[in-house]
Amino acid sequence: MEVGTIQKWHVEEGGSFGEGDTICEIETDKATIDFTAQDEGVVARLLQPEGTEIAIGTPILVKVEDAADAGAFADFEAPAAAAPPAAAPAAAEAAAPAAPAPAAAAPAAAGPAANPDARLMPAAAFMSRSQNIDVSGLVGSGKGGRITKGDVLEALAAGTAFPALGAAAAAPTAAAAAPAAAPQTEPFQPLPRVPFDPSTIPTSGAPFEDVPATTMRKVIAKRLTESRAFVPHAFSSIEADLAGVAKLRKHLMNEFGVKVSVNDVVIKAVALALRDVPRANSSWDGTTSVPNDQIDISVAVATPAGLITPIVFDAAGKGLSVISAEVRDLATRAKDNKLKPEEFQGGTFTVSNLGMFGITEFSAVVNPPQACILAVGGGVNKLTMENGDVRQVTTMTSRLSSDRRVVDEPTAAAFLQAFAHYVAHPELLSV
Amino acid sequence: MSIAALPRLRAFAAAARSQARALSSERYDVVVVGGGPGGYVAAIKASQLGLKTACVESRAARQSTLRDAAAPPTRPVATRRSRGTLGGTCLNVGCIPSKALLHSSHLYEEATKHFKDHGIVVNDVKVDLDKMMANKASSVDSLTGGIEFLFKKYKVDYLQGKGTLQGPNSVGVALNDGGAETLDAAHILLATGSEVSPLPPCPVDNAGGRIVDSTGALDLKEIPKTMAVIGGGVIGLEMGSVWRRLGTKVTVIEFLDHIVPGTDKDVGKTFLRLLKKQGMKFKLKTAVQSAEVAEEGVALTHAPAKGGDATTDHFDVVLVATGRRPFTEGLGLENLGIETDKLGRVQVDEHFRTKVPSVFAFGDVIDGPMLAHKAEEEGIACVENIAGFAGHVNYDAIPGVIYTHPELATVGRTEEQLKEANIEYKVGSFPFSANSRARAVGDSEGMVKVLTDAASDKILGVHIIGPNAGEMIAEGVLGMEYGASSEDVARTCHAHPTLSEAMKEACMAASSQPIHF
Repeated sequence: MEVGTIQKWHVEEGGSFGEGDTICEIETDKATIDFTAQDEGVVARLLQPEGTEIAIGTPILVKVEDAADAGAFADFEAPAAAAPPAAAPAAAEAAAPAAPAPAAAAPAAAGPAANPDARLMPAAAFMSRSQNIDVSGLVGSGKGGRITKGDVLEALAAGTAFPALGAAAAAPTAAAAAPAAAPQTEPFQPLPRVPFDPSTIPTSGAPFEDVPATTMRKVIAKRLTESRAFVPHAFSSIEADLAGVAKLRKHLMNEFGVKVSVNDVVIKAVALALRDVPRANSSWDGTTSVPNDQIDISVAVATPAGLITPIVFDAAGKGLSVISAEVRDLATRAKDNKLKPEEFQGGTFTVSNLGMFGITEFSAVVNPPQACILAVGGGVNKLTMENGDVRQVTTMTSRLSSDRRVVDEPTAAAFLQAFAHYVAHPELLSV
Repeated sequence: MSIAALPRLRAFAAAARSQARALSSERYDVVVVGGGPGGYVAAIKASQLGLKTACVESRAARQSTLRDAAAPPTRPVATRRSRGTLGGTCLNVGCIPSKALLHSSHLYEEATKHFKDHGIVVNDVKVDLDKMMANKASSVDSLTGGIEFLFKKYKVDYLQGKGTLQGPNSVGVALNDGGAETLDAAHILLATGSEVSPLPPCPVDNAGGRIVDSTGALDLKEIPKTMAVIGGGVIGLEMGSVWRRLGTKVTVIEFLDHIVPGTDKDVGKTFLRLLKKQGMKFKLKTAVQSAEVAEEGVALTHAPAKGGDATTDHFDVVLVATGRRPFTEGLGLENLGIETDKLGRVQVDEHFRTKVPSVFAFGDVIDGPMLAHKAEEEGIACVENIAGFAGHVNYDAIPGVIYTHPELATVGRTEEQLKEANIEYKVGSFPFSANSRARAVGDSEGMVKVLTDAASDKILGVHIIGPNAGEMIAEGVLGMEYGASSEDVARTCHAHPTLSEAMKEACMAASSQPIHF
């Protein structure tokens, strides 16, 4: 956090406040937070009006301990940000807004005049100063929540990285949540986190077993979260008539003994649609969209360990039977956990098909740095109107999730139109 | 419940009082049965919190005796009638009189044995036992009088008589002066304390002055030549010390193989060695079989605890100090179906409430160490709970002190307890022989031992043998209350030269290294 806005003062000049009272509401880029008093005092002067954006470190009010001193500040003007006023009467302190400290359950830091050792037992304070680590974010196990030597030792043993002392006013910056290749433009700001208290879960007493997450699941979880949080998803759907595909499959099977699935057709159709609408085959590199040279289709395969996406490389240039064989091989080896890294790392577009599970329609999560993922549902028999007549059709609904930074609505529409067209007229796949 | 409960409580009490009731009844918010350290403290606290409070105590003051005539009376004789006396066992026949005698006898020992080391030559130092006892009595009187004054100051109604439970909200009082009252009480607090546990082979007769318990030992008419103390616990060792200093040959007879059971064994061994060095004799692992008063004294028959031939020795006085038990006789617990366990303790929950929601109990009459300050803490916590606050007793930080010389003081856990709980710990120890102040005053027996958690350095126990250990232990208690590590104490400035530096150095020994040893 670098700037904040005082939304509302809860104190007046000349008014007194006690420990724990709200002094003002401060709007940050994440939320509006109450700034509470760390100890009691009397407001001598308010230095900033409501509604203006001010930088971190700017003094916002002058507080005195004795109401009699308040008048001395009647004409006091705030100095430049980050410089505490000099020559103040002994009892006065200026409270600058410090960044509300997120994560690690730390209370909002008080102004520079507050005693940082107040919650630290002597040995803990010694460790903090000697090692230049700010341990004030720890939850203290001593009386009244004091942070003990043991608390600090335990945190250090667990590998906790403490911010340096004196950097307490700056917001902690965690690792940037970048999609694999690209650096972020702005530092990652975690939202304030409330520590989860397991005792709040009501237990029925029924037996249960905790299953620890595998690395794979942890990675899936992490990447999915990052994708959903930082890729602006846009969605569009289209229905494609499956009559042609059914006919083609029957023909290939009966005449040539070639087995081809609907999904194989989908993959080829996607590949050709990408050839026709290359914008949908781009990636986001952090600042701009970059077109891909190849059309490599990642095919979502469900395995007991989790979802994995082996790649059909250069799908536009492969025939249906080749695609079919490759997909079957990749899927089998995926389930046996025998894929090589290069077989599932990469890809320019993902296809995910839940038709075999009876799903008619669903949305998938974009797999960065790819720009799109097509979620394909199963065939649905229904009646439709055509030229005033009722006709029975079997259609398949596909929903495209796309990174809005790369693929805009017209591009998505164009791609889907092309895709649906290829599906409806699969003879075009060989042209 | 919060402080908002107070106005409700008062309003309720006021409404109750305004109802028509029997002439001798008054509706109290709290009636405390028992005016010892637990009871009187609870009563004063209750009144301070705005609760209408009464305290019922049956103990009557000692009648004046020839001995007392030797000391100036504290008030004109005409007004001295049989009057109640507050303060319980502690003030009347426990802590206070024993500490007075311990100090007096200590001064005598210093004068006769150690003054010459300081170049003070005194000849012909004698003991005037009557004066010593009168001095003890007057300190007891002034303190019990002091509590009466506190009751007046804080508006606690003091009823001198025996209290009996008559109903969940009713206490009957058989007044010492005759007559009876019935008190109507929203809450009844039982603080009737404890009495000496009898030892059947050695029937106590304090008036006879031969086989006595602690009460009798505080009031012997003359200094015995020989004394057997049965029981190597706190009371026996303190009383034994008093008389040993005054010239008695004291033998302590203890059933176990160690004295002060429950104390850290290593500390207990040092303590035993020091007491022996002072001339106290010990017969450990010995069981007493019988004691008979005879012409030439008391014939005490004892045998090895594990079995064997009995021996009979003669002692002028035998002090029975094998323990105390809760005192609930005549309290009327059975009227309300309140049960006691096999040790006679009233059963309570963590809010000191018995199974009858309006009846509470704390102090010696319930489970836990029989210490006056434990009773006080519980009394306050009990009353605070009733008044709507969150009363709390930290049983892990209750100190224990033995007022011999050197004193022995402990708080927290012993090495044995830590081993049994599988807690890895460190030991930091510092002898008073390396403490400047102790050496300067020539009183350097003993040491400070600090036990800390091996991982976090948190102080888990403090054990001190030394001059003023009972005062020094307060630092350990405070530290434990705050969850301090030994390094925290080591990093705190201690005045020089004081005995308390030994605590600092022991903590340094536990967390890094001492400087002075």
